[in-house]
Amino acid sequence: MDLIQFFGRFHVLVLHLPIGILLMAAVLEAHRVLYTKPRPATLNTIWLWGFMSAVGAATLGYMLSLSGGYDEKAIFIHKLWGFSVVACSLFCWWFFNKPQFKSKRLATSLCSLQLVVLFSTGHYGANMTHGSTFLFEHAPNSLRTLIGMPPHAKERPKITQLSQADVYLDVIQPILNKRCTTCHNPEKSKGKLDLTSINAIFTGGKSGPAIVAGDLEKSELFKRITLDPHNKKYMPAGGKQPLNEYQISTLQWWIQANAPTQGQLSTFNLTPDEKKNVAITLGLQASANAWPLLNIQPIDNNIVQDLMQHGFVVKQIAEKNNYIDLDYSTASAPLSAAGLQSLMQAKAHIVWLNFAGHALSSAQYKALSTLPNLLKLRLDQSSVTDEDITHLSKLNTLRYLNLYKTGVSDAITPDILKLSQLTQIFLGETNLSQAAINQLNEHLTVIALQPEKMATTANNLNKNINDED
Amino acid sequence: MTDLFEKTLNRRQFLSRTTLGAGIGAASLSGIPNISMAKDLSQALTPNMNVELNGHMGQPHLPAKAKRVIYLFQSGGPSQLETFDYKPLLNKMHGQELPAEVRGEQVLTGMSAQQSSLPLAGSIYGFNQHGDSGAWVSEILPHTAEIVDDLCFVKSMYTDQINHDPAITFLQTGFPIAGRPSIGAWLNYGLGTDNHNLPPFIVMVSTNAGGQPLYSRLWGNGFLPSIHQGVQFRGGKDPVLYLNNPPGVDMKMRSKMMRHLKSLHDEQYAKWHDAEIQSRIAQYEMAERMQASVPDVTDFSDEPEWVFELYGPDSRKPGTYAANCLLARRLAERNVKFTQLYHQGWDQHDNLPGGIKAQCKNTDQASAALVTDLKQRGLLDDTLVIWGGEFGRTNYSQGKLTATNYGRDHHPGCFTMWMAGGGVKAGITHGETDEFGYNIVKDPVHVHDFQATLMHLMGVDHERLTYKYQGRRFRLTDVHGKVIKQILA
Repeated sequence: MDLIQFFGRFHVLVLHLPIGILLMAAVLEAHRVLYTKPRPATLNTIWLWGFMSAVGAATLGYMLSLSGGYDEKAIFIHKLWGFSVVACSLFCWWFFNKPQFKSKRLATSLCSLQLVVLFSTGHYGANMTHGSTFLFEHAPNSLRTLIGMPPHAKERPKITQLSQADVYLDVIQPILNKRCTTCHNPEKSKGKLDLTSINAIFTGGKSGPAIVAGDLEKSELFKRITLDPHNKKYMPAGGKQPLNEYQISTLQWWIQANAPTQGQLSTFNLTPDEKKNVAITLGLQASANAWPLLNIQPIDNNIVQDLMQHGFVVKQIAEKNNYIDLDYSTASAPLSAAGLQSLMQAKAHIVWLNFAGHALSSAQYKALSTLPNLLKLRLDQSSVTDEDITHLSKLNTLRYLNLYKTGVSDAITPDILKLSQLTQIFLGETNLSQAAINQLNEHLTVIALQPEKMATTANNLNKNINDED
Repeated sequence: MTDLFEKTLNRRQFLSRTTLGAGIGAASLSGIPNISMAKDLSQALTPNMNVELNGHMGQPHLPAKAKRVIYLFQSGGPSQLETFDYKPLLNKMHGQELPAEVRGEQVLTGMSAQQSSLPLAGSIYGFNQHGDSGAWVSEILPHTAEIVDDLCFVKSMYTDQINHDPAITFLQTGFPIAGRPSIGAWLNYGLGTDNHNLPPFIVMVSTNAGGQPLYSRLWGNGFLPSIHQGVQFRGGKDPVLYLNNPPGVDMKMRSKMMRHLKSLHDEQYAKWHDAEIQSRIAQYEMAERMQASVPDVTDFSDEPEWVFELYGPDSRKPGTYAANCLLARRLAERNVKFTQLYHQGWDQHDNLPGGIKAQCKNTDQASAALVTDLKQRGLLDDTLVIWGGEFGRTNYSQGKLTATNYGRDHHPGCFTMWMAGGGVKAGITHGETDEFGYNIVKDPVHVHDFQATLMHLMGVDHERLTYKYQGRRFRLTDVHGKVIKQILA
């Protein structure tokens, strides 16, 4: 418990009183003098109150300054102005109370002086909490050059492709700017930490370097943002909005990848999950609930028309999700060459594809292997063969593959294992041996129930019931 | 006569001939931009195809986890205490009075409110834990017990309604009074269809089950255009009658007749602007396509022997629950969006032990077979199977409690449903009732919450799928309901 700090923090509350009261006193006084009106008795009281509240604010401000965390020079300037406010208001109270002073000019100058010191104090104080660039941060460039500030930095173009993003400037820096640098900047370096430049990040603050390339354990920043939120050392402190899981995961990836300070994301090896985290952080991917792909431009309407004419049922996956679900299972005719051609035109958009019950040619299966974003492929009860699966093993985004009741055999096992993203495969009533199924089962969920076994189990259960009766 | 009509329009004629009366249904069917927010894909399609195929939403609000639903409705209110909600305390306190503090404020029906005593009744059937999930299942459901690891039990369902008709209407339409659209109608209205040749909403009622009556309004379209109502398949040898052309009429002639009928209808529509004429045209066209598609789906001759063994011997008898389950699977294979089965006879006010055992015997094997079969075919991944009734049953006996016989009255305070597939977590139990099986102690799920969750799995935000009628925007979940996030996979 630190009473000085406790009371010191009331400075930010109390400081508004002298600003309001002294403003009122100065304006009313000047108005009276300029229009030569009789002086109301309350004006004296207002000046006195203004003086007293200024004393209060200054005292609390001094207590706050003892807790540290602010630039010494900034404190000094603010303190100086603050004491001027106190002195000036005391003088004004005394001066205007004396009816013998009749000089109009002196009176108005005094009022103006009071306002100047009052606002200057406020301004320098605000600079300490918000940073010295706060006031003119969004000022037009002409005004900025006038007061000697550099013109606005050219905004980085908005990232539309993950691969184009610069690892520090587009990915890491924006996260820090969003959540950290209001307190950790050159002016207001809480814990002596500045996170606005890459060098300062590696230098760190009171508790050591914020980031140690390749070492999560020693990276103080990472430690702090992953602590229990109730922990005193948890960051961001003071109930400010914490980093979300994607931002944290992105920082984690960056530190583990040796904290590169430049280079496009495409030059780094990111796993799909890491890519997803970065994409969500950059706002390239809206749904947090695991839509695994980045969004895409809407499909050309003519292609949709074309697909429908060839017997496909075409459905957009969802609003704000331009991928499509393509279903040929209800079509009666075999897929024509023109049908395949229109399918290939929609290539990048197809994520769910259903050819259940159809007999495609080898060339057609081979063509399907070039779909870059396919997540779910239904070929159950189709004519697919082992050889076709060899081609289809190139579908490295595939999550679900249905080969139920097809002629595939053990030979597909190595090809299936090449599908790195595959999580579910359906192999019931195929020629796969139990050994092959077991082998696949070690890597992914295989559904391949034995029909006869299912029927026997059911029959046995019935027998048990009937026996009881 | 015609002149008379042209000159004097009475109120009804005025309403039905202007856009005011034609309403949204007519507007969208005739290709006037509909209320859907859909921009991208829907514009690509010809107006009529657009709404029919993609529904009034154009595309789901969010990626769908389930593309179709099979709802196995157990009508009458199956007792949760003899099936899934294991309460050994009731066996211990068998015959003792229901404690007043457990009953609380619960209103009883007129059937047991006058009883001088409300003796607790333990389940006469034993329970065992099954599967890796260790779910408790009663011995009269041996087949369901085999598949518990594929199921998500919700033991904390509750409803506002204590009697059959309002309760079942509430579950199916979101409101206890008749007149609102059924879930399947809402989904068809919002999402359209995935198979041009079959109705997207098909209903089957087990034959000869008896019990509380069911009415076609339970699968009705309410205030939605009538094209969205459920199509009931008959229970019997021919699920749809008159599929064959009459003698002497071939398909070509039939087709010609249909085209001509359409031109007559179109003429009527141009004159009267009645949305229901458009529905009629669409229904005639669907009927024509069903002449080919229905025999294909209802003919079981291509099913191997093991399938019938899996679903049980009843599956060979058309119209039974088992045969309907098998047919439901065949419809799912053909992308029918919503298949609703009803099985009556779960209303055991008396003679519960015998009654419920018979009910289970008729439904247990086929329900379990359906889940297994869908799983085997890779369809459970995007097909949501739902099992449940309209309310639960009391933990006390209605009528005399003897050593071997008792009954149970309606209990809206808690009941059990299960779901499988379609984006629902497998092998879990959600919610919990107290030791008396009377009140919910953890994670209550209101009927609207269940409906909101179902819609969510189908990619629909239940608060956004609305229809303006009589000056108000209606939705399935009326004015409340939240998605049960804990059961989403």
